[in-house]
Amino acid sequence: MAETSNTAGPEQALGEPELDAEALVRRAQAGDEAAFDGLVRMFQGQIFNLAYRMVNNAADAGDIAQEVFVRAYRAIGKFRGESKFSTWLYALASNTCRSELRRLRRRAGFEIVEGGKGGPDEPPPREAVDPADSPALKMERTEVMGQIQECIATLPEEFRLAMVMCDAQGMSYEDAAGAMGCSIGTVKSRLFRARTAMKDKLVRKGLI
Amino acid sequence: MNCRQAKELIPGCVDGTLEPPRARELSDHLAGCEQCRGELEDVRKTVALVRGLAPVTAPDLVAGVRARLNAEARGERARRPALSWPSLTSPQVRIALAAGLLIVVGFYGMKEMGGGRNAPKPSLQGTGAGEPGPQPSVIPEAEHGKADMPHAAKLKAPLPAASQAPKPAAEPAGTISFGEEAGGKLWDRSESGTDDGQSRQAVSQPMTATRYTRTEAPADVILEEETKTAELSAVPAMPVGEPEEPGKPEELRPKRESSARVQPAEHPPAPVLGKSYASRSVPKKAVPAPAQRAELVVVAGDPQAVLETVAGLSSAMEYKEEGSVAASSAPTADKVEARKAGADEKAASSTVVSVRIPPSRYSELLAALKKHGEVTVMKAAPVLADADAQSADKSETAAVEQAGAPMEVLITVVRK
Repeated sequence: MAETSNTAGPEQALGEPELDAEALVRRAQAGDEAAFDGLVRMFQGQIFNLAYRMVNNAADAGDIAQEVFVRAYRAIGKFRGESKFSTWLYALASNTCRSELRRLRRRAGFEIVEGGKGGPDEPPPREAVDPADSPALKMERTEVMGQIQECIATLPEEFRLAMVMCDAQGMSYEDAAGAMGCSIGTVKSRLFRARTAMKDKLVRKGLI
Repeated sequence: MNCRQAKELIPGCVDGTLEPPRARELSDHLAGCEQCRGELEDVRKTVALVRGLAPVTAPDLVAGVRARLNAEARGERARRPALSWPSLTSPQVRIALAAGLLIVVGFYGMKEMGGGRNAPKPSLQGTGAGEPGPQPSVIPEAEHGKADMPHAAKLKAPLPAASQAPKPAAEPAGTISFGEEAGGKLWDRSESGTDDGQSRQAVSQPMTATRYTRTEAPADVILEEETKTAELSAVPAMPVGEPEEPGKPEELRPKRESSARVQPAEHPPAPVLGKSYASRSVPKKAVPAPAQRAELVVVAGDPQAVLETVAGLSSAMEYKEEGSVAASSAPTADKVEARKAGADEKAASSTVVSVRIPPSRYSELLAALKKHGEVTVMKAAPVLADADAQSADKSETAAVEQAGAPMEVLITVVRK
């Protein structure tokens, strides 16, 4: 999966499409399937990237993103607009990623070793094995971006989620807290610890 | 501030989210600590690298999501019946259903017994629905329609419907016939034919709800229609083969599998006699309850001839194609019921016939059966309990005939 800078899914700040999203959500809640398709198009980049950062695998990320939108379709009638739709959708994505990560950990041939506390004595993380990855993707992983991604993938799950949401996707602490179902202070704590752990990993890799 | 405290604040310093006092303390520390400045620099580079990650091009998920939603919608429709079946067969549901059935049966049973105390004494000489004359009070109205129904329809009727037949409000006669005239022992399951073996226990509740047999004269009457309805309704769920008895030879027992379900269309041809009477309606009448019971096994080369012989012993009877032989309209006629044990030709190696006869005809029946093959007395009447069933035919016959009350003889005809 190529990492490009011209994708539809903004991995930076959220909130721009929210005005349009609200209208689409209302129409989707009324049974307008085209409106729901519009919501999928609007948020598929963000959700897919979140999943990709979490599972470090394009195919699994696609499955997760699809599952998120299927769940969103089933539950959109319960969305009451008390938060931003993107926050609500990210909460769905967070839960889906968590459950998928648990499943992947049980799956044979796929190991994700979380980085623990990120101490200097920590053994080097093992790569996530994905036989479906293309050779191009494997080559890309040798580059800096791939190594950073792999470092992210070895962070503890909640640290990873905080770093992906706040640093990789530029969500505010408040939105991240809403999506993760925790307080802003918890988000900060997880994020700061994730940054420290990530810094240690990158130092060991010689990337910084 | 020492280095450890500074390192805790450095990740937050990158965002500029530290409170001003903490930010000043950190700044003061960093001014004099080169190691912590390096730490801050590494964290800033780390955050910059993560923030600089280019978004991954996402596949178009719309088609996939739509396809899944459509598939789920189709699967939901297709799965709906399948999903409902396991839920019905789950242990919790089964327990609930069994408990509900017990409650219903118990409720009707109590109604029947309780209502009988206040109900008038039934008329013992009721006439059938097809006969002219006053309608006997002992015949429930709900049964009137059934009397005109072909018995095949009754056999096909689901069991719960049959168990609901004796509704107290619509069937005052039902409460009458099971009242306190029975002398305390309202009904005897041993006479009802439901406790002959474990194989019949599953249907004993519905049967006992509708089939009560009085045990004491002169009120020892049963409604023939009630008895018949209960027995017939129980047929689909009850193995009609002979009751299990520990001492019975295995080869003499009818095949349970073949008797588990009555399928009239697949039955072997019924006896000629039965076919000629198949279209008759069954009148209602009160008949004496059997006081004794015997069970015979006849191993014959021509089971059908045995059945015809048994049927012929009665002055007038109806032989249903389903294998049931109903009672005649004559008040003194024998009551004969036959249930085919087999659902097809191959499985029809054994047939069970229940004959209700006056004891005076027992010897005649026995002699007639012996003409067709080997007759084994599997269960003698209570008065013959100590008799040698295999050899003491004469004493057995005499004792039964002395008893006077009608007796029920269960005959299992096994193909040789």
